[in-house]
Amino acid sequence: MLRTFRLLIVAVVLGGGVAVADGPASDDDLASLAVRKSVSARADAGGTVTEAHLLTRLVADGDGHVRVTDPTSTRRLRDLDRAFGPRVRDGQAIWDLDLDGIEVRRTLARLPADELPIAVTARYTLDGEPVEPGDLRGASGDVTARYLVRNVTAEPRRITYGTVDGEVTEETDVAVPFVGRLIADVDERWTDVRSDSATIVAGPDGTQASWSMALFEPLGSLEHELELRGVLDGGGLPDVTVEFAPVTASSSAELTAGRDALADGQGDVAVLAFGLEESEEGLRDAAAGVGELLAGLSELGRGIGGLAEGAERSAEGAGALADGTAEAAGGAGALADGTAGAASGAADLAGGTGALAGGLGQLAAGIAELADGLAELRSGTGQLSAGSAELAAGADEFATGVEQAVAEIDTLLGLVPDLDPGALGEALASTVAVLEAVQETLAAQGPLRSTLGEVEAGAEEVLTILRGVRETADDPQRIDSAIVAGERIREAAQRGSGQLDTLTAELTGVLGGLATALQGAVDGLEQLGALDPAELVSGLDELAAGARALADGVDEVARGAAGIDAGIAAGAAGARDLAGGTAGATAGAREIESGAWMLAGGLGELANGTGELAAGLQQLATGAGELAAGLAQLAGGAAALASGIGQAVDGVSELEGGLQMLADEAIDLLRRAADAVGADIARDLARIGALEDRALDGVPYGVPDGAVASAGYRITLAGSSPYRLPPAGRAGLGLLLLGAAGAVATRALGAQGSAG
Amino acid sequence: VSGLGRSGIAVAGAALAAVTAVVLATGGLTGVDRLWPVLIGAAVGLAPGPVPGRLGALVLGIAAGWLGVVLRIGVLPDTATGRGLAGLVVLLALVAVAVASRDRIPLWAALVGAAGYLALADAVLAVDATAFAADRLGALGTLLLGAGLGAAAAVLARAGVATAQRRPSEPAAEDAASADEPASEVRP
Repeated sequence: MLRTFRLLIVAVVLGGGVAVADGPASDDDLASLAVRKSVSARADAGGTVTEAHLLTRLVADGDGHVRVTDPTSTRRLRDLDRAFGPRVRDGQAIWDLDLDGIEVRRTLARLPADELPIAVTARYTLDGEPVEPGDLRGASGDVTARYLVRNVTAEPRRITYGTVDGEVTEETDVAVPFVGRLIADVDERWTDVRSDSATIVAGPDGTQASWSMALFEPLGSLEHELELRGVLDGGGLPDVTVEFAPVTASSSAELTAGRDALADGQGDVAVLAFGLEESEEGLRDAAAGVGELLAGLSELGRGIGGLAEGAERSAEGAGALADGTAEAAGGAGALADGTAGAASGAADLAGGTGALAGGLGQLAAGIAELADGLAELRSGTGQLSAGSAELAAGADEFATGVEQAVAEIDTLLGLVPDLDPGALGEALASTVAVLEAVQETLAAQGPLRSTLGEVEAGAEEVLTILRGVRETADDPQRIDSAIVAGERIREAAQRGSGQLDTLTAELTGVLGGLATALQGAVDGLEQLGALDPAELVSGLDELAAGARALADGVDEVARGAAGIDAGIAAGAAGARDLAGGTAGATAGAREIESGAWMLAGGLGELANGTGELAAGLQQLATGAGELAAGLAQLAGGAAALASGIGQAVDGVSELEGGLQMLADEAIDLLRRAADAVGADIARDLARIGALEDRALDGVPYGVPDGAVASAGYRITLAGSSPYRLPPAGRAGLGLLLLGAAGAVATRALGAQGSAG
Repeated sequence: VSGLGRSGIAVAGAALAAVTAVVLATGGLTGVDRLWPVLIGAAVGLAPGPVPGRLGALVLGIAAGWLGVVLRIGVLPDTATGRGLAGLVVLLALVAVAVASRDRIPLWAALVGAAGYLALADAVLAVDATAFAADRLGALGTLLLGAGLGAAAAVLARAGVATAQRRPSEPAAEDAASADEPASEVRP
């Protein structure tokens, strides 16, 4: 059964049409010529060929006389269809055919073993030890059969192929493209038959293992080593058949598929090269993007730095505010001193007026002293004005700083959405605390207002006194000017009080708004993992607006102080006028005395109030100092942030460098690899092209001119039937038995056995 | 026909059956893995007439068949004409030998031998002429050994029966007389 199966396979392979064409028939009378050459060889168990035959079948179609010359082996060449022929000349069989349609010619010849293009070697091991084939006869144990199938037709050929660097011509070994298979049949004495690469099928009386091979490069290999393992139980050698045939792309699906796959690979390499170009461009774009990111981060870093700077300047402004406030406090202190002086002058006035009975000259001196006190008071108010102006400048500077911070934060927001809000929140919380302190300070301004009220009341009392004096005076005209001055003092005090109210209200509102805005920002920062930038900006905007309003308010303070100053100046002028007018005012001196005592009391109260104003301003200065500290903390946080961004800039810079290197080196490396693969594929395709040229060499002795040819080979390695007598032994034993039977018959049967 | 009588035939048949069983059981050892070469040998051995001439004719026929196959696959065209010519050569040679030997080498036994070899050869030649060319000696050995075993079994059985029949007893003499009678017919 297996044998029949094998023969069927042989028929398929040898008859399978491994056609190699050598072009169309050239003879006019010869329509077509086909030649099929089959080689059947027998080898011993080791693979050494002992006998080979070449069977040639020519099929000619045409009309008329044609001569066909077939290169062939001429050893024992004979025509299988005729008793004689063909003629042989120069290693060619010559056929003179008179065609009238299709004619078939068959020849059989011996083929020298060295004409075989494939060499097969078989080696065996038993229990791991190399053994001769004959040693396996009747043996038992683990057996391994190794078959080495080699294509020995490789010859140098020149091939040319294109690469990215131009056309390359090189010499390389090109073999005849053979495909084939090795079939090993083992009988049932082989058990556990296995192989790494064979197809193994079981038959009724044994096992068949077969391997398919492409015996050429680059799609296959010139050598194939095939291994069959099994366990022998008194067994023998496998029967081995190797079949192979030359192929061309037109006759072999494998070769076509291989060539197409390579061509596809070439296309893939082209696509890869294009992809690499695109990738390089993309990488460069990415590097440029990262560069922009780097620039943005740097700008962000600068922005944060600017924020820190702005915060520092804000802190400085707050410091200046503190200084200005402290100075204002100093001015207020001086005002208190001046007012105390005024009180003292008024006391003197009382004394003088007491002595007015003695002379109004003393009144004049007292009034002059009053004028001096008023001048000193004016100097105090001037100092207050200067302090306020400085306070205004500080607030302005603070506002500028906050606006700058807002601008920087705007930039910052555009660049980094995930700013760490910790430090900023802390600084803002400090700022809120400072503002609350300032609010408390402002809330404590009641004494100043009451002082101004007392000044107003004092002035009213002075006016009452002066009006009394006027009624008794000899020269009421002169007293009138003093009355006018007193009225101005009263009005100035009224205005100052009103302005102080307005200022306090405004400051309280502004600071409240500031605190609310900042608290909102702090809350926003705390609530969100990330900073709510819009709220921060809006809070800072409000802070800036508040700072501006603060500056405006302080300006108003300054203007109020200037009003006070002007009133006091007017009062001083009036006092001087009064001094001039007291000469004739003796009649009202006593009244003046009592009025002056009242004035002294009022001025003392003014001094006290102004002292309290100084204390309040000192508190304000302290609050501003705390504000400066908070802003310094903000600057510190911003500096830390700037440092972090600086580190990020370093990282991004490295990223940019990496991308650039990727674009420069990795892509180049890949491109070189793709070029190398492309060159390899082009080389392989060129080698496959050369295979086409060599396929004809796979036809034994070549192809008749103009013939379509095919060829097939089969090498059979002798197996062994372990217990079978060799043929000669069987024949000898048979003859011996027959002879013995004849002798026995002669002796035992006598005449009837020997002579019949 | 064989001159063995009923009991002789039974003994010879039993001996032949035993040999056949042994041959087939040890086919792997002897190379004779089919029955018909044994049966050819037994038939020729059992047939009446002089045994050595018949056995010689059998061997000659096998040799002629081998020669015919050699002619056919090695010399003559591989055509119907070539095959017919080879058969004709074999047949004419055997006839010539039979005539020349005055049928001491009987034509029938020679034809049986030739037919056996040609039958063996045809089965293989139909598949692969070159393979048979390499293994024709194997076929020859198989046929000779099978025929030898069959003939030996037949002759031994016949000799044993004949020896028993020569002892002086009536029934045996009867059997011997009946055995002799046909043999005298073929004597020239």
